Amino acid sequence: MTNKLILSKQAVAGTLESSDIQIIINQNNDKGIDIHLKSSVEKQYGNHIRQFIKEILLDLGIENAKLQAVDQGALDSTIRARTITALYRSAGITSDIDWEVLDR
Amino acid sequence: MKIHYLRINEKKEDENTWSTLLEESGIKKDRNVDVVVGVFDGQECIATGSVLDNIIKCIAVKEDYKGGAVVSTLITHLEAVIYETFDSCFVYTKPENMKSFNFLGYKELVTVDDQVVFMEKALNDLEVYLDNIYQEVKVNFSVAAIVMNANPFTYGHQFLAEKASEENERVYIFVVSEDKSFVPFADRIKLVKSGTSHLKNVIVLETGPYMVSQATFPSYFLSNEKDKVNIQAMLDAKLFKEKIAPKLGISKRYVGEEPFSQTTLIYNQEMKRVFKGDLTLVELKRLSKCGREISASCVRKLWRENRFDEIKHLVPETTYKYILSKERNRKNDQ
Repeated sequence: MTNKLILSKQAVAGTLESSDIQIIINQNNDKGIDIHLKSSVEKQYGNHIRQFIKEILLDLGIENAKLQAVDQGALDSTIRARTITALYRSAGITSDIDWEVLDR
Repeated sequence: MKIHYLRINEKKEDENTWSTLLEESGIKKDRNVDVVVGVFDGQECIATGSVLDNIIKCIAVKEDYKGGAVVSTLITHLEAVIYETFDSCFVYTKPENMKSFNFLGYKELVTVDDQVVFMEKALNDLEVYLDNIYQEVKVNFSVAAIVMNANPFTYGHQFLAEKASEENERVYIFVVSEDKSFVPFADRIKLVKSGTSHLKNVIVLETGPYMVSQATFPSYFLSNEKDKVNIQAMLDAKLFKEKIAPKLGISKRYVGEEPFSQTTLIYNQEMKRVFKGDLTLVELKRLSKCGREISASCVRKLWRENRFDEIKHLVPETTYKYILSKERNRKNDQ
């Protein structure tokens, strides 16, 4: 079981390139999870992407986070990898990363 | 596609490459940059972008490479440079590029003259900044604003604040956050607060990057950028008029008449022109002591010359005490 993740600073993961998603995350005090998404496939997958990211955060015990995602058509596996990377970077953790979240 | 830095100050070859590409694309060369990046297709430089603090500018992409992966890669790299130090990114670009930058997560702040659009990408952006300071405005409630550097806070600044406080229900005093002045920001805002504590309807806030900042008005901080002052002043004034004033219910902006600084004079003129009809610019004659208008630059000059007795009647007691304590600390360090 991983230790509780505490977001301590703004962190970024991913690029703005085609098929990728850029995730910027930071703490949000007690204001819950706030996700802003800019996606090239907003109509088709916008809601799914927002929900998917939220589930990843909740699964890792994050209840409060401010997140901006710029999506250029990324698949779920990419979205998950980038989100987890951004999260752990924000928490200042570089090892023992739980990549299997939502895949159990 | 390869990306690497263009050492425009060290390698003549890089400088030439950069100049040529900018000229071809009709982008004005701006040497006030920290980092210049070049995107290469083989040996040919096909795109460039620069960063100054957290501002992206001087973006040029060769015609054949527009609309492709080049811009995404370029901006990703420039942002990576910025994110090492800052949380927010700003960009100056041509209005025709605005949609492209929207897709990359940028929001328009203000467009000027159909020549340049100023955009922001941040978790805590202008909208968040305004939400955090928003207070309900009742009907017929008169709200005024003053933007001051207060370097340091003088009787002149206090006079402006007092006048605005008398004539309006609420006054916002925005203190310039940019820390490029003789007196550090933390001290400047403290002195403004203590110098206006007797005014119950005055709220003292920081400008953040949205007023008289490196981002909105860099030439405020540079003495030799005369030709840029107008367009920057226009940008700053327009952003204030279109986004900041409406949200906070501000109908008036108070300034002191500017007999000394050319930059501030142009700024006041631009504000008057841009505000026309929507906002009132209230220009007050400067407070005078002994026949001379009070100015912070005068106070700083006297400070440098150790003429503290002459400073005493130009600034409130709180500022005077601060200056003396700074002087004491300086002497103690020697």
